[in-house]
This record gives sequence, structure tokens and C-alpha cells, in this order.
Amino acid sequence: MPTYVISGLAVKSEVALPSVGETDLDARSPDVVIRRGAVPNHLMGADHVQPAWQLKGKDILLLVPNLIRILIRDGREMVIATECGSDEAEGLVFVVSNAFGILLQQRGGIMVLHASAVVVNGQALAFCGPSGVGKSTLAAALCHLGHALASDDMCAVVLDAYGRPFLQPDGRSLELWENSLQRLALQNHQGRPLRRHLTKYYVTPPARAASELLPLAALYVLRAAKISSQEGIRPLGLIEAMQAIRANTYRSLLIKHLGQESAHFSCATQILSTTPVFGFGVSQDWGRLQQNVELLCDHWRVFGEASR
Amino acid sequence: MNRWMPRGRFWIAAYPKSGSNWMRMLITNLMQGGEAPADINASQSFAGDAANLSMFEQCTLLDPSLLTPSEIEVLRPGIPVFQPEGTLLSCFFITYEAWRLSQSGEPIPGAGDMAGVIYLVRDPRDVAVSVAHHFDVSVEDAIAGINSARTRIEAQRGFAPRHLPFPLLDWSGHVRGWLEQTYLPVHVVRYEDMLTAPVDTFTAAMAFVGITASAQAFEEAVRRSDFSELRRQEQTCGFTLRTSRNNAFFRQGTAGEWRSALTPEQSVQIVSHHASVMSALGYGEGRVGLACPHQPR
Repeated sequence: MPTYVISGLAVKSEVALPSVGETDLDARSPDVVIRRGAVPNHLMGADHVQPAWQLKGKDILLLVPNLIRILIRDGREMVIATECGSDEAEGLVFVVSNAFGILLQQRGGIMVLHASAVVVNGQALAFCGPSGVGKSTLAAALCHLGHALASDDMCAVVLDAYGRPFLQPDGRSLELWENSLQRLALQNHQGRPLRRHLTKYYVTPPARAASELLPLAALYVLRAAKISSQEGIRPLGLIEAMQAIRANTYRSLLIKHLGQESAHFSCATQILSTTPVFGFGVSQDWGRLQQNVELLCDHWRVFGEASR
Repeated sequence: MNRWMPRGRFWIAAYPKSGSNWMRMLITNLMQGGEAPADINASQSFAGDAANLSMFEQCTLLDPSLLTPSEIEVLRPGIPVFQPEGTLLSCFFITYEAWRLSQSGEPIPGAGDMAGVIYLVRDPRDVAVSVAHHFDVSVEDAIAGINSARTRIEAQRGFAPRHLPFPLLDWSGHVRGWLEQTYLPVHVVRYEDMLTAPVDTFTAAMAFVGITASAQAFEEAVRRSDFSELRRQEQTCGFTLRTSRNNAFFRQGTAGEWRSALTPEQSVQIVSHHASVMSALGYGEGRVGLACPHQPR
């Protein structure tokens, strides 16, 4: 049975997972087991029902229409059932991305951010922001400059015994649209498309962070800058930073439904007490991608030096 | 502070380039009052959005960029309309989506707890000219889109998609969908009437939503939303909804530009495809100057 390490968790899976390379767990017992099995269409007596998911206690049933049903149990197990006539491989992309993010949330004690991150001077720089704002593209561009990829799209942040935040590298591949691949000249690293109909591809990063925890050095909150006055990097005040963490918590609706409001707030304040948060208005003009990257590098160079 | 509030939540629905942002500025200026015209960029928080990406992600926990359009359509009826926090007005929702029914027969973008629809319509020949400028495409391509029932607005893949992909249909299909649905009452506003009688037309639209301000308030809102003012702001500060690298968003704000911008053949291509709906809306054959009248479909 293939085994993996994803966001620091030892995973044993009955099915080969896309995006993440197999790892020998040695004597480590799995934190998470993924297996095929019977998965209901509905959770009887569900506490909460939404168009594509249901919650009962700590169990979450994720339903991708006409493709796959994934039962995510207590942060420890995923049971998958492919819909009749569908291709299991098409559904597995949701197992390693959306479902795994939910599983991390279920476990508690982990701040799961909708963010990508790279390694700079042995620390993690994370970029959070809404889908499509350019997190993966920015991370890929920094990888292209020689920085190792720490995480793509989803960052698991944990606190150590002293309350300091650390990022747990996810071990997954980059996911890039074809135009990003071309712009960044990463075609040589291009893997297969995430799904048959998509021109979004798995991309093996030129360098990947080891699975050890990385100190979280800074968090950049990406916002689409559609006019020049919205561009640039500026520090966020505490209230704005709190809002940003809340808004960029992966599937933040779950915080409430999983009863994690208080723990989430406590973790957010702990992160903000040690980690600078910057707003980054990112030009949405492809022709200015290089400028975005240089802006970030210059900012981090100055800020990183000053904070040493 | 808002001076008046409508009697419920309303769609402001339109085929693209039919005056929805002008209507947005009119309403914003009416509600905001004061002497200074509302900021065209700041007032974008004015309205919610039916096809909002973040709302879809939050409600489904799924990444919409991994889903096929048909998988998204299955889930759409269960997604509430997105309403950003701190909106100036929380009762108006701009949408360009075609009105349609899901596989299970539920309307999209939906009736939900909406009270009605302000549907903005514009002569499709002028829409074609404006679409060509807005999207940096040829007039031929703009006409092909306006005439095709398969036309869709896709998310901008790879960089800053703002919305879910959705069907637009052809111009007639879009108009028919919204005007012939039976879920919500509709008030139709013609772009051309907004130009010739802005105060009366805007006053009537606001009466539909239950806002009866003073004549002076409407006149002031119209004045502060004058096209020259919108254009001035765009030239000075830029406009976040602009998509063209070369052309301004607020470009001319006129009716009948098609007469000089389209060839006779191009006009015929549009009129022959949309004669029935055009006629119903007063964009009649007589104004086209065609030798042969077209049969309604």
C-alpha cells in the first residue's frame, strides 16, 4: 500500500495519490488512512447540509457531483467511493487537495491557510489570497529563482511549545495553468493535467523543502491590484491582519461548524504576535509578473535584514 | 449613510455592455447623496455577485477551477448570492448570467429571496461595437458571440478569475431568459432611454424597487453620474473593471454608434438573428433601414 507524508502527516493509502511522491514511513504508524469503501449519499441526521458536503459530528461527507464521494472521518481516515461510470483518477485530485484540507481542519490545532509558501534563508514566506490571485504563480516564479517550494495552495501552520508558528511543508507538487507554465518557462517540469478537461498541470518544483518544520517568517496577503494605486506592499495593522487570517483560512466556514472558533482565534493572535503580515497588491498584468517578483524580493531583502 | 432603501433584494441583470455600471453609479450617487460624485472604484462594493468564486468555495468546500462547467451547474442552485461585507447597498446584485434552469429544474442565478429584476437592455448593434472595444476583439468576433447560443463567459484561467464560468447565450436568448421567466417581476430599462430621458427613466426604475426620492435627488444623482464624470474619473484614477489594454471602459456612452461603426452587412447579421426580440423592444426594422423585413422567429 503506497505511503506518503502530506503536511507532516503520515498517510497510508489504498490508492496511488496524484501530486505527492511516495515516502517510506519506516516504523512510523500512519496518521491518516485512505481507502476505498462504501460511502453513503447522505449522512443520516446530519448537523449541517450544504450543496456539496454534509457534517455530522466530526465526520464530513464531500460530494463531487457525478464523480466521487469522500467521507472524511475525525481527521484520521478518508473513505472514497467513485460514482458509477466515473474515472477514479479524476476524483483523486479532490482527495489530495480539498478533502485533505478539510481533514487537516478536522484534526484541530493546525491553522490551515489558503496560501502557498517558499523557503528563504531557511524560513517560510507564505502568500495567502483568494483563488486565482496568483499564489501558485508567485511561488513558482520564486522557485524559478532558486527557492525551494514549501507548500502550494494550502499551508498547515502549527505552534511550537513556545507559541512560535512553524509551517509544515505539504510535499505536494505545484499546480499551474498552462499560461503560467509558459510564462515561467517551466514546461520541462510539467506533469499530467489535474483532470482530463483541464489545462492546469502538476508541476514538479525545481527544489522542494524537506518535510521538517520551517519557521514562518512572514505572511503576505495577496490582493488583485487592478489599477496602479492598488499595487505595492504595505504592513497590515492588527485588525486588518486578523481579518486577513480569518478570510484566508482554508474553507473558513468550517471553523464554526467544527467548534474551533476559540482555538482559531487563539492561534491567529499567537501567529500575529510573532509574524509580520503584509498586504501585497499584485498587478494582474501578466507582463508585470517579473515586477511583482522583484518587488517581493526587494521587500523581503530589506525587511529580512532589518528583522535580524 | 443611505437615505433610502429598496423594498427588497433586486437583480440588476444585463447583457454585458448594456449600462449596468452606469446604473450602479446612478444608484450609488442617489443613495450616497452629497455634493461630490461617488468614486467609480470605491463604489464597486456596491453590489453582490451571483457567480462569486469565494462564495462557491465556501459553500461547497470544492475548488471550482477543478470542476467542469456541468459539475458547477449542478451545484449552483444551492449557492446563495454573495454579499460582500460593508457594502454601501446590500440590496442590489449585478449579474450578466443568462437566466436558466438547472438539471433539477431550479433557476440559476435564482429567485431565492429576491424581490425582482431591473433588466437593462441596449440595441444589440451598439452592444456589438462596445463588446469589441471592451474585450479587444474584432467586430466580427463580437457579432459571432452575440449571435451564438453557445457563448459563455469563462473565468480568466490562471490569473485572477473573479467569477465562476457561466453561459451568456446569444443576445436574444439572454433577453428572453430574463424577460420570460415567471419567478420574479421585471422592470425593463432601455439604455437609449437612459440617454434621452435619464431622470424619468431612472426615477421609474427606482419606483419599481420602492425608492421614491425627491425629483431633485434624482436630478442630482443623474448629474453626478454623467458620462463625462465617469470618464474623467477613469482617465484620472483608472477603473478596476476595465479589461482592455487599449480602450477605456467608459468610452462614448452614446446610442447609434453602430451606424458608423458597423458595415451594412454586419448590421444585417445582427438584425436577422434578433429581429423578433429587437422589434419587441422597439429596436425596429424601420430604424435599421433594411430593404427586406425579416420574419420574426
